[in-house]
Amino acid sequence: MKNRELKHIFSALQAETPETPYHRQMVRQAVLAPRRLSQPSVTARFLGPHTNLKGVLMKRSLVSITGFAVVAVTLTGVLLFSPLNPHVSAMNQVKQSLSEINRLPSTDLVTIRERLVGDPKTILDEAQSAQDLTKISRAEYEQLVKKARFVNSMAKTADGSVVAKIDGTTSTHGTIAINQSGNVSMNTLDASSIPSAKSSQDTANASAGDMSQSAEAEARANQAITDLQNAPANTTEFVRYTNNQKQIVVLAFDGDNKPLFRTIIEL
Amino acid sequence: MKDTQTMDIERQWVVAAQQDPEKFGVIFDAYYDQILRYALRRTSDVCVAEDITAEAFMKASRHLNTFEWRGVPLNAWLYRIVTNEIRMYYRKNKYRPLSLDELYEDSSFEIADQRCIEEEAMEVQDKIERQDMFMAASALLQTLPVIYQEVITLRYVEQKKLREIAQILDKREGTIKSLLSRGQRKLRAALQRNGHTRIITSEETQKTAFNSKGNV
Repeated sequence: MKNRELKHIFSALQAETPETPYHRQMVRQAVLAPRRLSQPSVTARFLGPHTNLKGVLMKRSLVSITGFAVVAVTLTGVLLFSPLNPHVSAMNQVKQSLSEINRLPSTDLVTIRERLVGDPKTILDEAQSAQDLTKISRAEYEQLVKKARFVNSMAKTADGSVVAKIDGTTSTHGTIAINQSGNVSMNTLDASSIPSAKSSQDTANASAGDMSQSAEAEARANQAITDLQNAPANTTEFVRYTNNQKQIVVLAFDGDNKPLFRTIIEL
Repeated sequence: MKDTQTMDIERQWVVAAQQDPEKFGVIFDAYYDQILRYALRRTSDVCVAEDITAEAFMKASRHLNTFEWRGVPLNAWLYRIVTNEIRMYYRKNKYRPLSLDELYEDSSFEIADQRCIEEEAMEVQDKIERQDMFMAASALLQTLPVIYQEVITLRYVEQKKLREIAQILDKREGTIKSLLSRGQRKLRAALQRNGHTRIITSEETQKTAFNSKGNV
């Protein structure tokens, strides 16, 4: 076999190829398009000296990087989740209150609710300092609730719905229900159909037909409706306080620790 | 002398592109045809060659900031990238150009005219396949192990010098020489096994048509 045959092969392979202008244009556009791929990632920038030209971590740096990561995570964990952290302590209180609030009887009182926005810890601190609030135990809380002057009420039912009872005048008696899908419904009832939830004092006030009280109760009912409509379905966590045993203040946070609203229970 | 001048120009292109990514267009325009042709000669499949070329340029543009002058010309660096892509193509049953996949998933990127690109690829593939001589030579070359395909194509088809091949394949020149020698022996053997007369006949008959058309 001579080299002549090989040359035939090579010359056959050297054939010019037709041009591909559309593909060329597409690739040019893609290559020059500004995009995130053309920028080094945050990790790559951080670990720049520890990566080779293909961006792969070099073995000898792996141990130091892993060690650094472990130490950093451990320290962060200690700082964030330590019981000494006041923020964590407040959040533990929130979690503890969750089960309690869910066990409340349907006659527990809810009156004024304000929407909260901001940092949970700041809200807790401000609530304590500005309103002279004191954290109370579950036993104290239950004792105070029993003495509450019922105006309207709110509770969770077994199927997860939230039901609010409006107990002011005839026109505002009723229930508001919000199911787990967030749908709200309201039923107006006669005063007689509201059973033992009312205290004797409330009944007396309602039967007196005081117009100002009626307007107030209606406003509260409307507020309750608005609150219920606006309250996210995952409203689950609460912290309760009292100021001089005249009010119970409940701060509500959602599962992501986002502040939701403040409820003041009149005593 | 010519090599030094080329390297100086390439160095200017690289510095400019490292400072302004849009300047990579100059590098692309200078080497697109060369790289696509090399990929096509190695794979004899237009679609695969186009994907490999696109992937190679995407990787080159992405890693240009890490490119350092160590005596290896930009040209050789690009050949190295595309050679690695071709290796991946032969290694896997289904070649997946990852940069292109990411690009297509990026909603901000719109392909100008996908249909034109596909039609163009089909047209070119059709032209290529009508060239029996090229297809037979390519099929014969592909019977060799990939490393021999690489050295033979780079030396005798792309007309690269031994030093350049050594830079592209990251091997010593001595190694390239022996690979070339063994590759030629293997190619001769393959030629005898597969019937060289067909290729030679094809070449004789098509030379006239090839010269008159000026392309494949």
